[in-house]
Amino acid sequence: MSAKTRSARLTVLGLTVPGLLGLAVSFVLPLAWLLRMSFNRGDSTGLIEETFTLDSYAQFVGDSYYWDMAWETTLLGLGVTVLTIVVSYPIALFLVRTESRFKGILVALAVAPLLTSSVVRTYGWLVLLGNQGVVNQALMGAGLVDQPLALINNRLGVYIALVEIMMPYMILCLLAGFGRFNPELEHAARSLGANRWRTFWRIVWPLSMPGVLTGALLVFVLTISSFVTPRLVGGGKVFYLATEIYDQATATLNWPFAAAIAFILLALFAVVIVIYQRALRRIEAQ
Amino acid sequence: MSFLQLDDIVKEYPGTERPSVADFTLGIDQGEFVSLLGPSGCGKTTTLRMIAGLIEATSGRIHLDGKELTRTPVHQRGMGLVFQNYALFPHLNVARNVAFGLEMRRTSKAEARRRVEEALDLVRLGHLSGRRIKQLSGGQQQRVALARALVIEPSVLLLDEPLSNLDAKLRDTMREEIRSIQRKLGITTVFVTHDQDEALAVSDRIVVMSEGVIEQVGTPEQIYEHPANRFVANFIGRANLFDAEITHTANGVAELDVAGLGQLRAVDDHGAKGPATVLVRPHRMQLSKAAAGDAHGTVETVVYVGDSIEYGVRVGDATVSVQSVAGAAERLERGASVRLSWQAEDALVLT
Repeated sequence: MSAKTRSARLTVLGLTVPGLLGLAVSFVLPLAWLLRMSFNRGDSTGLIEETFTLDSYAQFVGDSYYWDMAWETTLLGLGVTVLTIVVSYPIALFLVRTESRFKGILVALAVAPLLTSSVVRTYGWLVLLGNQGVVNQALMGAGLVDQPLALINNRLGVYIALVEIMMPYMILCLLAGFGRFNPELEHAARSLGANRWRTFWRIVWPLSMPGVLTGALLVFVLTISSFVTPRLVGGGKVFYLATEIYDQATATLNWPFAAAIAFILLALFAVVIVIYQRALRRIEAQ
Repeated sequence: MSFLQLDDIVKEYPGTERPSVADFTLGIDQGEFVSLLGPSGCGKTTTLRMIAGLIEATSGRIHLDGKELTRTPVHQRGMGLVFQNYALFPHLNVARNVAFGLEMRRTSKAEARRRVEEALDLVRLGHLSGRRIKQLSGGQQQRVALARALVIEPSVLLLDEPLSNLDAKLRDTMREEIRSIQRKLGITTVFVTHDQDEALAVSDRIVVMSEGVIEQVGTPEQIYEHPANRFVANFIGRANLFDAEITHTANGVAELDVAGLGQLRAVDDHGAKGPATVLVRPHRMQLSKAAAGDAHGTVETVVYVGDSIEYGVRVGDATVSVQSVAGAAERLERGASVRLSWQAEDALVLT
């Protein structure tokens, strides 16, 4: 090995070590501690017995209540992801196609909600969707409904609020993923005899897949790990894994059980990331 | 009515001062190769896209083979388009790009395979049918784009600056190739370009455009030898334009009093007296050494370019370009006093 490559390796090492060290201290160590915690025995009094048991996992697996919760969490992740794609895609496509000189401003506006914390935006949705909220007032004022619709304190409200909160992330991913797209490709497809519908499904959609996949991964992960919005808009009446972890840790004080649920959620993440990697490899092989 | 007939085509965009294309009327015969030539912004690409159906005309009519298709959507026009940036589908390989138009027509698999093979052989890319688009060079991509447009057996082939992204040498080869394929298939072709050499080399007829209107329509010879006006004269080839006064016209030849050069003659199809502009191409100018008192001007620049020598001669306020065959004449030095003249048949009176 020449002196030059050795010094290059030292440089790489020197640049990587601080980051790795930071990750190790702030992420890996707490995670290891959490994993250890999930094997302790806890009870509702808050006492934690240092031991090595699978009790917490057994409690989860043995109770259909938690299976339902895991299922609802997965469903929420998938549902919010699909809905977010459906409402974000037209916006992203418009932003890619537009030749407006305000394009930069329009893109900034589309992602501007990220400047506000999701807690604040959740409260915004409570105001909008509540019984006295703008939506119900408008519907009743127009004579479309006699009684306010139940739009909060249920799963419907959680879906609505989460989809809106996730949209900027999805739009950003879609915009980045449209890299290989160029409006002239649509013109080419049309000139070759494809109508708008077939042009979209044969050309636009396949070319947007990298962005769709990245956005889907991000939104799914953010959704199933979010607990402020499900907690507030759900009004404590709907339960997901993330809200349950919070409840177990802060209300029930059963830390080992909270830790076990956290690792089950982490396993769900792992499954999704594997699926994402495979899908991405398939697209790139095309 | 011609095979492809455009009548009074206008394209206006709201908020712009002049229409992008105004009163465009042109008939193109079956099998003809017509170039739309002009500087950027002259409306040539807009016109092509209106023929293709990608842009809707504000007014006017388009007929193809006697049938009106002004309102026919692009995917039902059956025209083959080749784009400047190729617009190949990056997620499909070469063969599937070419097959796309056939799939849209629900051509049977076996026939599609045969026709794709034929089209790729036509552009000499048969061996690359399995390649991915990004593995191809620019010239190869352009050939795939051509095959993709031709495989659907289009009624008209529309080429939008297809060569401008290629390097100079490849451009010449591709232009010959496009022309020979066009001849072989006998396909009616509209070719958009800003490059006059390209247009002169390949076209049956050239349509010179500027600022949305047609300046002249004619064969390459007509356009070059008999430009209709100053714009065409300046845009096609190099031109010296002289201010002159016509004193007498007879048998299509005008007697002129040319500012700074004295009495000369020129071809004149108009027959009007009075002030006029005279066009003389640099290589048709005659240059001779003269005594200082007898001279029209002085040689300002001498550029030796191998085949010829290019002189810039200062006459009054203007500079006249003269191109002479290298070695044939005595070489003149910078600062030499010279006389300028031309043969009557080498000069043309413009309106």
